[in-house]
Amino acid sequence: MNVELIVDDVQVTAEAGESVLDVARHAGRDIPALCHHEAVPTIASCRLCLMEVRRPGRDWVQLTTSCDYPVSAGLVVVTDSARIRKHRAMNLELLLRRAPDAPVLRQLAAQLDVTEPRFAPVTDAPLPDCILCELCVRVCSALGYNALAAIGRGAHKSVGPPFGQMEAPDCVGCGSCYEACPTACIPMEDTATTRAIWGRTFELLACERCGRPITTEAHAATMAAKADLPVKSDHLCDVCKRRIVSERLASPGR
Amino acid sequence: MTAKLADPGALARYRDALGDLRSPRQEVIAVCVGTGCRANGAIAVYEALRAKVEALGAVREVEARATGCQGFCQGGPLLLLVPEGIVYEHVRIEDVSEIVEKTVLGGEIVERLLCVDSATNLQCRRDEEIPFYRHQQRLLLRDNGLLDPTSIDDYIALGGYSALSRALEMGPVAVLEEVKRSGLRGRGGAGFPTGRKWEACRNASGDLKYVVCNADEGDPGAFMDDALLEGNPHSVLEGMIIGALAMGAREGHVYVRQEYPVAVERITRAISQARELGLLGEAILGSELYFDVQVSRGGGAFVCGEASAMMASLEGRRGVPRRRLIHLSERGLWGRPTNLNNVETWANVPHIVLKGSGWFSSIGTEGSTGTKIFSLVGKVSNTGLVEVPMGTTLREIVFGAGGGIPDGKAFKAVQTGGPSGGCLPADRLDVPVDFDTLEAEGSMMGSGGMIVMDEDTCMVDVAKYFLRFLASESCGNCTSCRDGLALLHDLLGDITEGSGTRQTIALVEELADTVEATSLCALGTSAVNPVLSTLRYFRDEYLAHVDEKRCPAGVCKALITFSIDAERCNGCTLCAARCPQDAVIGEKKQPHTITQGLCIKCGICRDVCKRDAVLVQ
Repeated sequence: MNVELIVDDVQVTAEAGESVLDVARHAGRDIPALCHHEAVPTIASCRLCLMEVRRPGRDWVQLTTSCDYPVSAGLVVVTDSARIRKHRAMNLELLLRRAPDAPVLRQLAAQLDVTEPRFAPVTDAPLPDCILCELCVRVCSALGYNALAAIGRGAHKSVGPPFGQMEAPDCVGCGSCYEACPTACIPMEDTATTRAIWGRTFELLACERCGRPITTEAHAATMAAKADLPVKSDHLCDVCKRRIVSERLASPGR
Repeated sequence: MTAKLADPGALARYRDALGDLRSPRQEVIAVCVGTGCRANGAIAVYEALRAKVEALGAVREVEARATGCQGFCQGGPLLLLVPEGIVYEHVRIEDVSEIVEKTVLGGEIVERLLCVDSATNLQCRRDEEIPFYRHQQRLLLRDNGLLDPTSIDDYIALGGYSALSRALEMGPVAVLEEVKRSGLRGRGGAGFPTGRKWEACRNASGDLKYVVCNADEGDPGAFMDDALLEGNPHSVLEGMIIGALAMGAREGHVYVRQEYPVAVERITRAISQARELGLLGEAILGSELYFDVQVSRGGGAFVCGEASAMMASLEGRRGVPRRRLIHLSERGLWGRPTNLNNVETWANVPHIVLKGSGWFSSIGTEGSTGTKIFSLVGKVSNTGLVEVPMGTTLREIVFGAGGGIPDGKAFKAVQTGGPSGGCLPADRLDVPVDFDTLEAEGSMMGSGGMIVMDEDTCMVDVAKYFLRFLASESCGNCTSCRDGLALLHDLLGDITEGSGTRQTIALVEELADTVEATSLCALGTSAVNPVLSTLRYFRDEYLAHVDEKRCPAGVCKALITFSIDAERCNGCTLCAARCPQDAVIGEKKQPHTITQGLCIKCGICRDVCKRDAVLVQ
């Protein structure tokens, strides 16, 4: 079902249930949102995607996060105002204490005119540069591994292996958390044959044609088990798979 | 095992049969073993009394009974003699023999154990003469002093579960209407009209609905829900059963904090007793109603008192609030229609059903009906649980029931609504305490915490104290609440340590604005109340800290110095002997002095000085 709403004085059509954030982005608005990823459930943690909304029949304007606010017919959305910028900038200042040098935050700081730091940086975080958005936790959970968790409360909250363990027993080394992290704060180190992440070291599986690592052996085994397939003896990377297909297509005997 | 009660008639007959055993005229010595009295040795007093009374044997039939919190914690351990209504306070084991011999056998009063009305200096013989009780209307708490909370028979003998019989007779719709008409509002904090909440849950589609009792009382210094659950668990349970009837719920949960072990034990016992009598389970009192309750223990996270966080916790997940775009009444626990009320709200329900909405709404104010229990603590003469009609003024509570400020000190502020409430100054003492007025004054009703502060309280320090609690109890989800509160605490720390400037105050205000405007749940949005309300009513005190580097209340250590008034000091050496730093020097019978470099400003010298010679500036 589609609904009509107004985003910055322009009427737009959106699908019921879509978030205001997604709709505003489709309409071309540049809205910062660091904890949002369409593939995982929203937790509205970073508090940057603020917007002002007014529901039909109501005479007050509500300041709200837009990632967890679904569109509805007749909703009037304002994506930029002095009030939005003020609170967004303050929340960005708070995040900058945790990741002062993260490019994504530095870029936003420039956009929002956040210059001199007014608050002392966080120096005792177990995972430096982590802004506690839990994207790593949510991505891992969505993939079915649940190897990571949020730990603790308040400013002492952290993310990592459950219960603050040194290593993540359920991790398969797929590296999805590393990819999802907006501040690239998750330490992951690959050598030619191994990958170290979350206190564990995994053997990497090499492409038997080109020799480049594909993923970890543990990840490949888990995927095979999930798909109820035997663990293959031959492993090819995506590039080599495509090459083989094109070679076959081009082969004269075809 | 007792047979299940087949219908309301069977319950009435069961009660009649109990009446022979438990005549209201029977002599009972009720020993309060609520948390405060227990900490003061009430259990030993009860054991001694029971032994003594049992030894009387056939001479005199008196029952020693351990009850839940009777409210007057200041006087603990408390003893209530029924039916006379005599109250003895500060009872020790040594007093037990005298009480039995003089009062029980001789009908004589042990005068030194009576409470003294500080205003008239007269001894109070009966409970209603005691100022603490005289200013109250104890609708929910009265039975706490009368019944043995481990006995369902006691509850039934006092008329318990007759509201359930009545509700079954009325039918769900009539019960719902009655609760709606009563104007009852949720006692947990937000004050949402209970009837409307019930109606939404009743109208929500779904076969399986839940009712939940919020017993995760997390406010520091608040213990009214604990007192109800420990002292009268069946009243809460009966409220829940009636609610289940009205809403068509089949399952109930009591979410009670682990740190209330007695409450957990009492409600668990109450549930199994009710099951045995057929008041829970299938075909309750022979009706078509099926309802059962289970107890879930919370791990002590303040945020789990927030409805959506509690649902997550009940489901076995991390207790983090979620945006509630669809009401819990439609999609709550495990995605099913759920009604959540707090302990005190549920305990009101049987009274409303039994005595009618007209009676209930005649108590209190138009917008806030009924009574409210406050846990009155801090710098007040009578601490304890005070139950008053809504609309009672703060002055009546603090100076009437509370007996004013001890040690001749002046009243400074009262904080209502728990840690995220606001601090109201003396010129707001005549404000009627109800949901809407408190909110308009920059504070809130909350769940009924009330902390009294005297002139020796520094309001910046108080705001810092509450911020510290709230910052550590933030679930850590929202940037604004998680980091904003911790920083607000640090900024207030700068002010109390003397490094704050007017810019610090401006930054506090700016940051508080964002925390309030952009946090997801009520913990974050209301956490700035202690800062904003003290800035609103006690701004001068903040300014004294930043402009003059002075703490007017003499609390902030970095800003005060201790000295000895040479004219007053007679050189008794008491302070010098007690100073942990050996900072006080001086000859006997000569004025002493304090070596500032050694002084850690602990205040012991001031506390021990009999001549008020220690000055704090």
